[in-house]
Amino acid sequence: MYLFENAIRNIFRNKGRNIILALVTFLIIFAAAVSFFISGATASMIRNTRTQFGNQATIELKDETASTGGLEVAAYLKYGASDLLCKTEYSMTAYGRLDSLRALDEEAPDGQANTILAATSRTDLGDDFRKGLRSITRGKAPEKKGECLISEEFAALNSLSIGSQIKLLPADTGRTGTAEFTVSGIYSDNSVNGTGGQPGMPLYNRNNEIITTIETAAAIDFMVDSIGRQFNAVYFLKSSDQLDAFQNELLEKGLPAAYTVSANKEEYRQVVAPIEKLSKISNIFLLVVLLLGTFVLVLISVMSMRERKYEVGVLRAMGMKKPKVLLGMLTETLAVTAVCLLFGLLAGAVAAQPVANTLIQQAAQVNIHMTAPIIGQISMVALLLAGLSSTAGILYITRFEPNKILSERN
Amino acid sequence: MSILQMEQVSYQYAGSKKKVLKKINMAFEPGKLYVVVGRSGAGKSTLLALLSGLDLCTEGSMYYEGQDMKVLDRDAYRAKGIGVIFQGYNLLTNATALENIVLSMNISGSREKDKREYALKLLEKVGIDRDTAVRKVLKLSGGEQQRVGIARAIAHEPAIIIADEPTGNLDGDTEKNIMEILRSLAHDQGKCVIVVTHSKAVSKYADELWGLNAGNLVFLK
Repeated sequence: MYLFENAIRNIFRNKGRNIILALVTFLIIFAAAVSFFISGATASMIRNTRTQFGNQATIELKDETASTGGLEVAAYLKYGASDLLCKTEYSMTAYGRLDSLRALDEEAPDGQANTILAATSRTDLGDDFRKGLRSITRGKAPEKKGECLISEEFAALNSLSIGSQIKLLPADTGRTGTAEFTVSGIYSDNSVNGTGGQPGMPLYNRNNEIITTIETAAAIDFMVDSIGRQFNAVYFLKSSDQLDAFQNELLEKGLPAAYTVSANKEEYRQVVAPIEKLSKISNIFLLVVLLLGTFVLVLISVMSMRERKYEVGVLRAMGMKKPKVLLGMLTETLAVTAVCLLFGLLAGAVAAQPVANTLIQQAAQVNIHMTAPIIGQISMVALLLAGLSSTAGILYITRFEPNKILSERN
Repeated sequence: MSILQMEQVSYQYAGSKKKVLKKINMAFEPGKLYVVVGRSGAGKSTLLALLSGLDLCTEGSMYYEGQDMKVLDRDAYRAKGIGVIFQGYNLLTNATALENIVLSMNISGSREKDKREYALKLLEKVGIDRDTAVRKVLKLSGGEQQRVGIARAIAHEPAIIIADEPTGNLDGDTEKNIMEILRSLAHDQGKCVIVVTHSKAVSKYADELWGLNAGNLVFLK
């Protein structure tokens, strides 16, 4: 007990030395805390993003310049029936021709495509609706087969309302067939480009779009294999490490060799790249701080060695055993470190967010949180650093016999 | 029966051909005050280092209570068995006089209940009042530091007290006072007190006077 009491008293007895030690230790802990908090936050963000995007798979051409006829809609849907998936998202657009109805910005019916059939499997009807660029003002989203949404402008132009019937004809010349729809709801397009306004260009007016379910669109033969049809399939794997297994399954199901299944890397890269850059900077900074810090602490330890050496000599001459001398001096250093740790952590936590914001330059939002594992890591590093740097010095001094130390002094 | 015994003890510094101490045979008994006199370079410091367990002889053997010093726990010997009054004081300069005494008592494992009060009384006994006792050693005069050193050496009531020029920085009256204390420790409390000095005035307190000359220890009186 007296060892610890004496160690604490010693801190105040040697104010000058301990103030310098405390200042340096505080700066190291502060800098390390900032780095640790940023590293922790970025690691967590990278992990979350990987979970979010890493399990999304799409079918892509191995060679984007290769000319292929593209995959059939039925194939995309067949591939989606897999036990490796937890969810699928399909979207499709195809050109069509309105039967007996007028399209916005259409000067006169000329037998050309004048509307776009947009289909999605998403219950939120896709990003436009999710982001508020479009919203349902009347009725409801299409659910049953043959139901659709039309815009307010289109409805007004053709005096359509909920329950009205719409017929769509093939846009491709030489194709026959009719697709019938029932209006289940009416949407308003709030985007800047939604209003169109270019006479003779009805396809440029988003309000001409007829929105339906993927099941409805996929059942219209003249649409699914029409020219200009776009189909996007996003497959959500139950686990991101099952990408290869899913690809093998698709190859067995008949996926042509020209195609490959890849994770949604682009979005992942866009989100993660700036965070990874920040993480890298903070890790390098941490390394520099720790190396410099260790160097400075060892330097202080060596500088105070002469003074400490005499102290060790006296204590040893009084019969104090080496381990006790070591323990007392270590306690002294660790007590100073503990106080610095408290203030360094608090200051680091306050400074980490603005530092992260400055470094990342608004490319992404990093939210710094003070978590127990990070506090534990910082504490371990600080105590280890202080312990090692002071132990090295003390061990060096305690190698000498007290007689040698005291005779040198006297 | 002797408490500390030297048998054919010689000492030679590493790298030196000359022996500083030469085949010394000596037995120190409790209840006696020994004074060892010698000139500079006679080997007094080396003898003190061996007696106080700070070093080991290179030839011969030393025994404390019958135990060979070479196998003895010398830390425990220094902490409990002996009390050393150093010529250079060897006090913790940033600590107060009182803290030096209490720390020494703690190291020795003293069972004194109120160590602080005990130390204050001890300091008073050697002429350090309570106000001076709580001042840092660094701010005390040489004489005051010497007295603190004496108080520290006897605080844990060791069986042997070794003193290196204990009165070197003290005036005549205090010298007498300190030597009376040391003599009383030997005669009244049965301690073995060994004083190494060049002062003739101190010699008169000796129960046994020995001379150290060129590494040889000779009985004088």
